[in-house]
Amino acid sequence: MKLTRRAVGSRSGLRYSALCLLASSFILLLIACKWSPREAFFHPTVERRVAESLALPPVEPPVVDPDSFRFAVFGDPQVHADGLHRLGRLRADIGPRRIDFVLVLGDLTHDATAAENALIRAALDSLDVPWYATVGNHDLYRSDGWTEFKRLYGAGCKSFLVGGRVRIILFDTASGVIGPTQFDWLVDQLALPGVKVLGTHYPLYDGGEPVLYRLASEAERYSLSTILRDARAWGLFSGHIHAFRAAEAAGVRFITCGSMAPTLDYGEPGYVLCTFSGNSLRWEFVPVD
Amino acid sequence: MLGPRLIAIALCSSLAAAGNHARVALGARHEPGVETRVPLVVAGEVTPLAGLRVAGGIDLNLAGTAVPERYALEAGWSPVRFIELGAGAILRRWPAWRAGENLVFAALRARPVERLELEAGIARRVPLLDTASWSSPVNWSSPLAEWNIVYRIGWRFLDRPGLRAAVSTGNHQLLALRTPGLIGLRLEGEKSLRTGWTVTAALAGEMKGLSSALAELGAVELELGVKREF
Repeated sequence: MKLTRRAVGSRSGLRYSALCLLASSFILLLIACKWSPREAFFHPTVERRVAESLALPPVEPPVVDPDSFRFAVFGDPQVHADGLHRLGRLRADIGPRRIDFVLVLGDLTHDATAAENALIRAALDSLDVPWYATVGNHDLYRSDGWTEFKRLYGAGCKSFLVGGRVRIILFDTASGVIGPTQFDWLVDQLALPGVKVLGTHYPLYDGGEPVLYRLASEAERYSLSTILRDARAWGLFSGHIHAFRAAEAAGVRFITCGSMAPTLDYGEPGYVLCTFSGNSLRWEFVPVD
Repeated sequence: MLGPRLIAIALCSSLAAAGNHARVALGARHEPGVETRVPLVVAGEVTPLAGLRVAGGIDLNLAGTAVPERYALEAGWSPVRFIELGAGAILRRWPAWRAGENLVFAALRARPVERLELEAGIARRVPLLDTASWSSPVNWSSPLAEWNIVYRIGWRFLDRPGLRAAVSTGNHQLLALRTPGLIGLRLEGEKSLRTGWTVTAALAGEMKGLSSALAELGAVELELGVKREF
């Protein structure tokens, strides 16, 4: 009897300790990340964000030489409170590589604080070329995250024609969902003329590893993939994974380039440089130090 | 397109598997902005040898082209009473999009206590997007192929004579193997009738956005069916 009681006591003690450890880890994570846990369930839904984005004025396209222009694409600069980011290296490339504009694929900040937003906004402005950003999950981790994103970076989904040749379509997958309104909007945008280049935060595909970081719904993935295939889209850029990887299927390029993040999941840091000339679009990965 | 031969093989697999039990179920699944399905599921399970279980199934989408869109065949071997080593394949098709995927998996299932079921494993998911080969059951290579973890935790919270109910979370069922980025929750119940039939019902939902830590409601699914033990 004594032994049994001790065994039961030790088991419930173990269970209690494990629960305490789990709870305190969660609390420490929230404190360390400055996240608002409320946002996990009460963030503005993708439907609301898309409706608000589409109500904003259209985006002004960059002024470029329509026969030859270049743009850089990357995701996840994810500036922390320490202010460290890799945009200084990109700034040094803007002139020598004749980059006309920049696309940023979400997660501009790590915790969406005012200080981090001020840091990354100043870094983007210092590039001295037009930049266009879509929203990532980290940009929504505070209760005013979406409002601040709209104020500082504009709509989460936006589309514009560059030089009358290349249509850039940025869309919102910050919460891992595309949603009905945005699907309809994407179909409309993909019917417009131009070489179609899409950018969003979540990758549809990214290598073979058993990771969680792809768009979760297979139906959304295949629905979008086949829409891109049938519209003969050039390709889809994404971030979320802090690395670079590219694949091509059914004539569509799927390129992950979250490789400007302060810390990488694998590979080397860098951005994708796209060059439009001779009526075709080419891409290359440019490593940064 | 999937040839009639493959359809016949899958049908035979599921019907031949009706030795131990067979079930027919009608469901409804809605994922906002993406798809609405009304699947008619025919499935069965047999134990041809002690410790060996074979299950198969087909699902026809009555809201679509009403041709089979899902095929599954799996086998499980139990070296000891509370552990099963399983493997199988699932073929899924979206005819309207001319897209499909072939899945193969291996998993370990365990029942450490009477009402608790655990499953963990690994799956190979091969997306098929090329218009020429989207329905090929023999195409197992793609530049987009990926490994996915397989998991399921189920708890039978009600177990009375003739009445059972369970709740589970996971990404694997006979005819579906979802990405681990979806958090699925499934509530299912069974009521045995005097006629020898069992009525089954299930309600399932999915939350998207596990890796973003921002939850959004994904698909909602309802299924009603009958099962017959033999």
